[in-house]
Amino acid sequence: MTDQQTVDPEVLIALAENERKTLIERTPQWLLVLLFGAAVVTVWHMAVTYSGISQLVLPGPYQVLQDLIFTLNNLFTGGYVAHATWITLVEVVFGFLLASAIGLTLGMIIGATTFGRKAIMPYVVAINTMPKVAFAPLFVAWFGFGIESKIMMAAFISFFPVTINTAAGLAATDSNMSMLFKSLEANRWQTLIKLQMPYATPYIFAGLKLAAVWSVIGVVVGEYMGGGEGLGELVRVAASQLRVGRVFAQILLLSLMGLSVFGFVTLLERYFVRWRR
Amino acid sequence: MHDVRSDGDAILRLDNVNKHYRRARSGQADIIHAAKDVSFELERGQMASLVGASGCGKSTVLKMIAGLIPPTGGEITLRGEALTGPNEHIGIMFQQPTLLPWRSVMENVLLPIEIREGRKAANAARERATQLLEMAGLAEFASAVPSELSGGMAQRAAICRMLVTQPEILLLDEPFGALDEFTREQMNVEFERICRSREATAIIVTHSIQEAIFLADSVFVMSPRPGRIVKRIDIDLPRPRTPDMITGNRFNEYVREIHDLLFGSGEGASHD
Repeated sequence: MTDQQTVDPEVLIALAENERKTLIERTPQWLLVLLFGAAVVTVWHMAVTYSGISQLVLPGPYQVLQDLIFTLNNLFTGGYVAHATWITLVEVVFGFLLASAIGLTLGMIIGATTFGRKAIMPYVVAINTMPKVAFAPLFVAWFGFGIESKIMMAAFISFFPVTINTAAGLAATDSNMSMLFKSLEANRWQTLIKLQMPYATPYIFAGLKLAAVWSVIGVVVGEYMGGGEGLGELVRVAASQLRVGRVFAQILLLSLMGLSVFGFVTLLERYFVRWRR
Repeated sequence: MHDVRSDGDAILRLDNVNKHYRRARSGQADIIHAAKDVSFELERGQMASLVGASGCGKSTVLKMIAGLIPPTGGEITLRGEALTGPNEHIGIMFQQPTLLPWRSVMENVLLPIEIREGRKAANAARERATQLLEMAGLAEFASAVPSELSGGMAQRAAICRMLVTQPEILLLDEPFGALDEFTREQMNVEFERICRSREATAIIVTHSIQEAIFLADSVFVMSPRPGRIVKRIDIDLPRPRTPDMITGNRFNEYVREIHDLLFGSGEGASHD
């Protein structure tokens, strides 16, 4: 045997590709992310320092960092930020749970019954085409200034993706599997529970992930409109006082909250859809 | 006309079974005969193949026996009683294994019992399912999920699932058509062994002439438009069937006869 034959061809291909790689391609991603972030912050700093923009309109990175430290410090020492974060978290979680319950129920009715598909589906689609944020003042009028109106707003905004994905998932059932269940004389309920619902779980989780993020939007919109004690209210007050750095820090907290709910749903998905890998 | 019926005590009987679809085309109603005047009988322990080109109605006939689609005319009887829908005495299997990917192999095999008799009965049948899996060489995969199985293994699991309710008649729709040639031949040998050991009555739909001959006591040759049985050929080969028979003279005579019927050298295949 010659030497050439003993070398794994895949290794050769990998070597050849490595030679052609550019500097950017060879740099690890975390380093690129850091470098790009640093560049943006530098440009930001220069712009604020040399353009003469007022700190009230756009604070520099250092100011924002100070506000962030203040906000986090307040959060972890149980100050008013902690209280607001807790309120908003409760609203987001209950809004998301309500949206999931409504979405799953409605989606099952639409996906599993002809009546639902024909009679209810058009209304759901019609509701979705409305700018749902415009309903916020009504929700305050209906459910008051407490957390209830925020929960309802969050559920109202985020039930739709769960509904549509559940219905689509139920309708997507493999036709051979349906035939198998028919040949086994499975009744409608058995087919729904043992075949259609498990088959639809990947679809349902895609909807739940959207709902997790949209719930935060719904809660913040609700808080902008109807006061309360959450992070949205803090943002509104800070903005009205032209404390832009505070606003940035609080928005960061909100996005971390959205990320946490999203992450939790992703963990659930990994457990329930583990068969899909 | 060929007489495609047999004598003796039939367990399954098709009597002038028809299936036609109406298709509207440029104002005129157009009738498609998927199956026309299909009649045959099956005795207990007899294995029959339906062979024909794509679209000749062989799958339609099988689905009508399984009760998945209603015939538009004629009658199908099981032990003298008319079949009007899916029946617990009939087990069916498709070209795809159709295992539920979120269930283990064992849970998949127990599915028919779970649906017909409930979870308790399914748990009680675990031992029987284990025996079936052992017979199919899948004992150590009982708790595996379908994605861990090869194509042949998945189809063997589907066979176990079909057998677990101990149906009197097995219906197989292109059961090994999605497998590669080597696995397919191996599956044919195994399936023949399984059927022989349980004296199963089975109908196998296939477009492989070799497979039809290898597995069956009788081959029913079908022609399309309208889908009907043109000839019944009884296969006089000893059981168990072995792979070396496939290259034998007698086997090849059957292949030639069926091939001529299907591809129309001679009478019988195309007079419409």
